[in-house]
Amino acid sequence: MNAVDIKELSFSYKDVEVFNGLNLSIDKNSFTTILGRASTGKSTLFKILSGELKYSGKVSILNKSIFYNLEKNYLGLVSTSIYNFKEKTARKELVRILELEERISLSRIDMEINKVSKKLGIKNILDYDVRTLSVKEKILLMFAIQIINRPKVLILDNVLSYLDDEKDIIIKELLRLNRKNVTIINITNDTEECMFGSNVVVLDNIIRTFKIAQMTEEDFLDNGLNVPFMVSLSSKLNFYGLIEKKYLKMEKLVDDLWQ
Amino acid sequence: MFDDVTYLDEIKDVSFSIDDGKITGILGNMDSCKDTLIDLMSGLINPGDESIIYDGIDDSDIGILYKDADEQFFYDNIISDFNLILKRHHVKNVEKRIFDSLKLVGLSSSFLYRSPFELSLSEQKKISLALILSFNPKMIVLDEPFLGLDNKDKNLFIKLINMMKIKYGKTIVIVSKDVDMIHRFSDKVVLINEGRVIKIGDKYEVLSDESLLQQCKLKVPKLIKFSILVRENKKINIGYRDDINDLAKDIYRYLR
Repeated sequence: MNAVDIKELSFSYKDVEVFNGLNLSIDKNSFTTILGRASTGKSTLFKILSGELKYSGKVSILNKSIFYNLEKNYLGLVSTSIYNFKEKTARKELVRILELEERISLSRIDMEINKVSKKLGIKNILDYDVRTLSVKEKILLMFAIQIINRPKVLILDNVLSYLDDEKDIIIKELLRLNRKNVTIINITNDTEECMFGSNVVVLDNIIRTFKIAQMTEEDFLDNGLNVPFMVSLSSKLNFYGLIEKKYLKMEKLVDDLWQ
Repeated sequence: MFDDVTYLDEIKDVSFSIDDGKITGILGNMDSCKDTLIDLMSGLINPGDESIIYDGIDDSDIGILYKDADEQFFYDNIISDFNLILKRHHVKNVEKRIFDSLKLVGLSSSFLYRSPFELSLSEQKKISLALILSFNPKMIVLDEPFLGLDNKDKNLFIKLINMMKIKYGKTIVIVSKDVDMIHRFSDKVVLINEGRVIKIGDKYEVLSDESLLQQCKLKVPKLIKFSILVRENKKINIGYRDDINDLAKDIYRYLR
């Protein structure tokens, strides 16, 4: 079973065709980064996967419909285009999510909220009106909700670029969720972000799927994408005959070069 | 250029100068109030006292590339925006200017009759840049110029920024939270945090200060980080590079 299965998806905005018979599947339990040049349909794909747009073709998540997954809270979404906060403050929002779990005590709710808000550095905004939060704070709150909610599939829509140093914390949390069998799908403009994941999907006229460990500089350039720093440096040093494989960690590369 | 500006408690005692014909990078995180700074520069808001002094530059001689299209465009067809900006700057030979500037950014004149608000982000950025180039300002302010651009468009912008600096001697200000981009382009860096200037200096001096950047919720640029790791872990000083090709070449020279 795949996390996402798309068959013969077609979609147009008025007279502009975005997808024409797109086929794509995303592995269950993978951390998949979706990249693509401008206007290749990244944000449209997010809107389709979040149930916002009507399309023709077949899209299923964990073999069920998008709406079934949303209903069951199996599908988590983080995007600046949807803030689906139902309560007035961040704390009330988190309480509501926790109360969905059966047999959870009040003290346990307090503890959980404390834990997640401390981790993400949002303790000071817990009692603010959610409407007054900055974009970054709203994104952090959405992540807090998803960390508590622990969906089966979590889709991010170009949100990591809004974060400053909180990005490292969020990535750590995403990797932790991924180890607990949450499929992470990160749609992004920033090719550096594919370094955290395992799989890469490049949207273009032809859809291509890669394992990040096997991607070369050409795979990015051929698709009009910026090459991530470590991929680029590894490939240049490989050209000079200094290293034989690709390095994803800078410390390791420095160690091996000057051993 | 800025001399003790105080505005609505957001920007506090900001003082720095921008050098003629150089690229100044203004670096700050999401909450650093860079937006207010840009509004101050553009004259959209008045700082209250005469504190922004443009030496030899009229503030109508400044072209600003905004992060958001909503701030850049006034009309729902691009030609009207061109006409507005060229009229405001008393430019003659309007048609040639429009044609030349569109050519620079690689767009055809068929865009002139389209609405800027229905274009893709990268098309909006290119049109915005063409608008600015069309009236030939002395100073150009670029707010997050690469946000949302793919590799091809990014390379075009890099080419144009270098051309504006080297060939036309423009004074350029780049405002961004992207440390790698600021490192690549700037001669001088102004680091701001929570509406205050934290440090001004040569780019290597500012961008290699790991703990200071960390306090400002920023990271060291990757190219500089590499040199720092080699220095700290291997006790070898390889200096700093601005370009990944140069770094690879020099590593080869060291290790050969």
